Amino acid sequence: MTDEKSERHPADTRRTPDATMSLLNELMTHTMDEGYTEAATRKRDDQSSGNGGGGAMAAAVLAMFGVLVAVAFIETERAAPADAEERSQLIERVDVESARVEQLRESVATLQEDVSTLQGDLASVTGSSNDLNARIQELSMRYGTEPVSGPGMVITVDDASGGDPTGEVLDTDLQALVSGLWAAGAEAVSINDQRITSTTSIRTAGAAINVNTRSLTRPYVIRAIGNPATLPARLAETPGGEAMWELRINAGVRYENEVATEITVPGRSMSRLRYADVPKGSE
Amino acid sequence: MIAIIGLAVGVIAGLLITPDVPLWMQPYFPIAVVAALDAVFGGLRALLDGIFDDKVFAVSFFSNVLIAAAIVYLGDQLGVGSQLSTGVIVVLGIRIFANVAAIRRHLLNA
Repeated sequence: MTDEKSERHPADTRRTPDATMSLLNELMTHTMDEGYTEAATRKRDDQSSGNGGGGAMAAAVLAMFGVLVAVAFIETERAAPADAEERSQLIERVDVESARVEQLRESVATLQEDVSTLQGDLASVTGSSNDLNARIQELSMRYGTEPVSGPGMVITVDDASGGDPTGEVLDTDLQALVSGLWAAGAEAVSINDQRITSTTSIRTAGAAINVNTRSLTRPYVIRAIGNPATLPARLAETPGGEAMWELRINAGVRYENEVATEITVPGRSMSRLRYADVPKGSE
Repeated sequence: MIAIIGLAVGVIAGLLITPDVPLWMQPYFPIAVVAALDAVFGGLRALLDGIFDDKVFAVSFFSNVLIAAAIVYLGDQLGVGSQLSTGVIVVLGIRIFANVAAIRRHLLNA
């Protein structure tokens, strides 16, 4: 058994060297329906005279085939114009959309350019706006519209006790004192929480002294921000400081001053400049 | 001869009547036509070989058409309809070419 098998094996492989191609071989060689050959052999065995070709049944089948082909042809013909139209519409749409894409691409490039330009602008504007904010802050403090705080001195001035008219504090005394403070290096001054600004007036109106057109009540508390180490000494050397000292000694006016490490001088809301402007030609 | 007349009658009838193919049948129609073409060429070759048989021709025709359509339908249901129709067309095309080659040898002796 085993011997026979081993003998047969090489013979088999020799017979079918293209065994793996059997499917394709089958396809190529058995193209005709095998029913024909079988029917032919059967007929030969029966010895009956077959009706060869051209029978009525074959004619009927061929007629059906004809109908099939004709209908397929007509169907294709019918669909052709619609297909062509669809195709041309599709091509048109592709063209339109391609043009649109091109246009959008161009606008993207333009917009990107704009974006980078604007970013540059924004950077420079932000920079200059920061500068301007810092400058506004500083000017507001100088001008007196913003409250400021820092070290300085607090001076309290009041009329002499006893109701003597010579011991009364006048507007000119306060003017001299404030001028003395400015001269002594004060950076911000207020009297009874009225900030002294470039447009402040100190004058008597009736029985009271008005600062910033507000009547003051005694005692007068003057706050000045400046170097606490030098401010009192320098004030004493100014005419305003000397005058106050004399009033204190001669007329009994109350005059006290003390140094403070942290005092706050309020701001004063001021109207906008409506008439003053930078002279033409100077920037 | 009667077969050729049958074919002509069929073609003319089809062209004149122009029946509307139902929508569900339309995808399988071209495949059915190719399968029918295969059966017809097979029959023609058998005729030239002298072994033509009416019954075999009719059976092969209808079974070809139905099986081709059924395979494509099955492919559609499985989601590989277009691939299967390509396969069917290739196989039927090979058979048609081989049969036509045999017919040519018969008719032209070349």
